[in-house]
Amino acid sequence: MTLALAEIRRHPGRFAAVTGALALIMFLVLVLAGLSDGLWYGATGAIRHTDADLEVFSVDSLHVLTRSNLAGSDADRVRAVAGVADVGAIGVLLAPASVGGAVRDSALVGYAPGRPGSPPTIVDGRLPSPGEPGVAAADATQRGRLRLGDTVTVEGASQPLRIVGFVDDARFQLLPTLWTTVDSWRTIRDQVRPERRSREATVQALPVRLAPGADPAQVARAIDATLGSTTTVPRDQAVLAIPGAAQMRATFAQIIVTTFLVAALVVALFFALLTVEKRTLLAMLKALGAANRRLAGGLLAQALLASAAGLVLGGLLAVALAALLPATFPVLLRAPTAVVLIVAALLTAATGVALSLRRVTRIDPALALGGIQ
Amino acid sequence: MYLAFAELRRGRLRFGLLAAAVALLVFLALFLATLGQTLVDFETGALATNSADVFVFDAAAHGNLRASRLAPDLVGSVASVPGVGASAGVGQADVSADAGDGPRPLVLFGVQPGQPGTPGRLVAGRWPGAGEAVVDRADTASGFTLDTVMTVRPGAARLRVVGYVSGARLGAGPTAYTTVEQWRQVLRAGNPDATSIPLNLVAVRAGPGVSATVLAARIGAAVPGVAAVDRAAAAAAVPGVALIGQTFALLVGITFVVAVVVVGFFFLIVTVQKRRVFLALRALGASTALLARSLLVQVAVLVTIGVAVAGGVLAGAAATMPPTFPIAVDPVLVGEVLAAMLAGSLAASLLSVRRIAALDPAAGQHH
Repeated sequence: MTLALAEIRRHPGRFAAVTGALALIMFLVLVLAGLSDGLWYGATGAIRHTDADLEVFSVDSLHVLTRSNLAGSDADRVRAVAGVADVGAIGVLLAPASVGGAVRDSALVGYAPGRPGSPPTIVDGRLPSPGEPGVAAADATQRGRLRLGDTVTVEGASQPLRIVGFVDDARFQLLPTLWTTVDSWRTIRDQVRPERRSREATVQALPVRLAPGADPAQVARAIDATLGSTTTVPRDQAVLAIPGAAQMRATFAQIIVTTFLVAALVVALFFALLTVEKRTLLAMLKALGAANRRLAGGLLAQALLASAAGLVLGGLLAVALAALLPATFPVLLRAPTAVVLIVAALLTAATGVALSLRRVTRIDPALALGGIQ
Repeated sequence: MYLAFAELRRGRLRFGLLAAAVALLVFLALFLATLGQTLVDFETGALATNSADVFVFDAAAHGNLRASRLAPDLVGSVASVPGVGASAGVGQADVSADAGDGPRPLVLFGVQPGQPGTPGRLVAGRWPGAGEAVVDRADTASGFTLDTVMTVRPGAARLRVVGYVSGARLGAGPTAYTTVEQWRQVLRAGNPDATSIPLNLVAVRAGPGVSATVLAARIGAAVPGVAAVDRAAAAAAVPGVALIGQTFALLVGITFVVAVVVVGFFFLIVTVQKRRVFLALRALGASTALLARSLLVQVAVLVTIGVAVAGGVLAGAAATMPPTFPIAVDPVLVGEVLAAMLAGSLAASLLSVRRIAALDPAAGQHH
């Protein structure tokens, strides 16, 4: 082990190549993972990060919020179902919205304050109060663009919304998201989507919180039986139905696995080269009594160190890139994901160096005597 | 040259590992580029391959088709602008449709057959009439095949598939085109209380000798409350498309740099390891050009093998993609990546060439 570390100290250039290549690969892995997380969390926060246990959609909606349509009065009927603790309401409108003349595609989410389906994490200010018109909480990613007290106007709507707070992890479909009362949402929606106007007040989904000990599947069946025209699913299933989110995540996971395969190959390649270069030296050490295990341990330590250095450099590059990219890029570097990737990277390095370990054990000490070339 | 190939033959393991690493990295770059392009095509096809030259949006929609609402009488105002050859209203709705194996999400367009707004490529069958629809050919995997009758929800409109269009999806999912009247009926079934069903777009074909850009500017100036753009600009403005393009370009760029760096570092190490051999060869009269050529040939051979293998792996990956999201190997893209990889890797190998050039043959005499 000491020898292995001494070699790195005395010949840093020899390991610079593998460290540099690994740093770039880890950079790629971290950016991929950052994008995967960014896309997933940015697309799903409005549904995933709530206290609802179940979501009730209209039967033909395929559990997609934007395709669903329910009578708001259905909430009272759901509340009467055994096992239901409380019921909220959700509606979403995807439309351009302007702040001080700057227009961006946005999501306006209408919800029932204090009821299931509300965004749980307030990072600044407050949430709209029940029945409070003309106010909204913005998702926290808009903090650079919006301030408390600013007004946002959905294009085509007469009523502007004053920002009273910021909420974390509350975006929908990667759009800047505004949370307002379901009544304000409906007023604005009816103005900009005249074909959705109806005599009855409608919502798009009913988030349900279960009573303690209630069986989710049983309650879901009871709700659908009561309403007759709904499909009720656990929140996780509603999250997976958000268009594109799950597919994108699965695709990125496959790309990340392939990238790790490249990392393993690169480690294998470079350590195979280094082992060939040190063949005579390793034979000499063996002739002097060094055990295979010791030499292999040294090689493994070198691979792990090079990978760790690559991880650090790649991590720094990824952090720098995330800081440089415009805020519209959905890159999210999360500590739990980083931990998984670090463990995977070290395991990959250990796997990659296995080929060279085999070579080391097969080196004949007689080579040191010059008899074998 | 002979030496270069002989060394490749003898060092099968290390050169094989390098070729495998290059192949996987190039595969990643090709896969990402293909995936990104396919996504963009599927997201924007309805506009990008449309028969219209110009699209007219509600100005408040800022180019977002789903947010655009236009009064039906606006079609007449647009038609009266000088330079308009033909114009027609287009509607769009996100619905679900069951073609026999369960409901699926469907983007339903209402168009007027024979008028601008219809997809540019009808590849089988005919344009729809009442109670009929054409679907994107990629959606046959979702059960939307010729003569199938789909039930559209909300409501229960039954539409028979009478033709296939190509490259005409919106939102990377099943997309169908029916008549504007039929589309209105579907929306009205979803909300019988609706007092009006506005259009989403007016599609315009330019008259002879009028450019799309000029016509778009004329319409924008002549008709209040609208924004008119040419086909390419309308496709580029589909929400999320620019981000998809930029994201995949970034990933492809990083992957490409990694591949080039790996090749460059590998040959640098190999060159350092072969220093004595190079010295001996130089002392025996081999020129720097000969040795450099030999190295560059090895780089070119390995990169070409790597790219060829990557193309094969991509073809394999394309075969495993779900039929609802087909990707195809683009030989032009593979060729471009090969050229870029060769250029990048040969440039990165110049570090090794410099080392070879700096060798002093006289030093070889001491070994």
